[in-house]
Amino acid sequence: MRYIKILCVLLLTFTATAGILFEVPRLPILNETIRVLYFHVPMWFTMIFLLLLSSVNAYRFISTKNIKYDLISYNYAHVGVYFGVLGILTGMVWANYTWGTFWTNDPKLNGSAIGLLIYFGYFILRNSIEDESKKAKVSSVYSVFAFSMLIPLIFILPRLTDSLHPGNGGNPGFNVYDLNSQLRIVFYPAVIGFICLGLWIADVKHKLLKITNKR
Amino acid sequence: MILLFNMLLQNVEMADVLRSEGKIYVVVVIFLLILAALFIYLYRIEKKIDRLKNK
Repeated sequence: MRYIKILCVLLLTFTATAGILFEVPRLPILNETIRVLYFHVPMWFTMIFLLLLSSVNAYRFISTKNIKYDLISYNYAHVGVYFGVLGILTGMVWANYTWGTFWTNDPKLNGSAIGLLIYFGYFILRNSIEDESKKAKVSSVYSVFAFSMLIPLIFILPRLTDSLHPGNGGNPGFNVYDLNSQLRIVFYPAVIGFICLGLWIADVKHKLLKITNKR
Repeated sequence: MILLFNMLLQNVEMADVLRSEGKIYVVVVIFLLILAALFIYLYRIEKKIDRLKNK
């Protein structure tokens, strides 16, 4: 955990500096906002990573019936959804200046919104059950399904149709940026740095959860 | 043709003036300050929770 924190501080310091100062490709319409790639996209990567950990721990609870894993699963989902909300908000600001509106009925945007709503449903479901073991069972099963819904909603469906969002609408992955090593130099450290930040926050929250749950 | 394409790209408007004036460094310093404060805050919260756990 200590190394993750050190890595987080180093990589995010690098991202903040290099993300603003380094040369980026000059593209029309995008202009200087291409730098949003360093801050908006890592939010979603972090969310996906944390929600993956959440569903893995939910699965571990189902197979072992150890309540410890359910708490870990809930904790990761909670931090992951925070990053998802940040991803939506940063995306909306960018969309307003690039597409001229905060929200369009784009498959990528709607998919990610539905994905987040599914997770909001998870918290409501979880908090509505009093009995501890029942709560853990129901929410673990829900969590596994929620994550397997998220993947098609965010990654598959937007690629099947046309989408305004960069890297979608028939284009696999990072086609737009593929040739550009300038962007990669900052983008990969940014992704790892933000994932480390997510793990750090989740670790702090987990410690707090353990203390409050004992009382 | 490629040369023409490159010339078109060079005309894309970027924040070049801000950069040449050196004021972009102000943005970087502010960004780093916020980031540093957040890290220290998170670290201190964690230390407090650790103390609470040991009680």
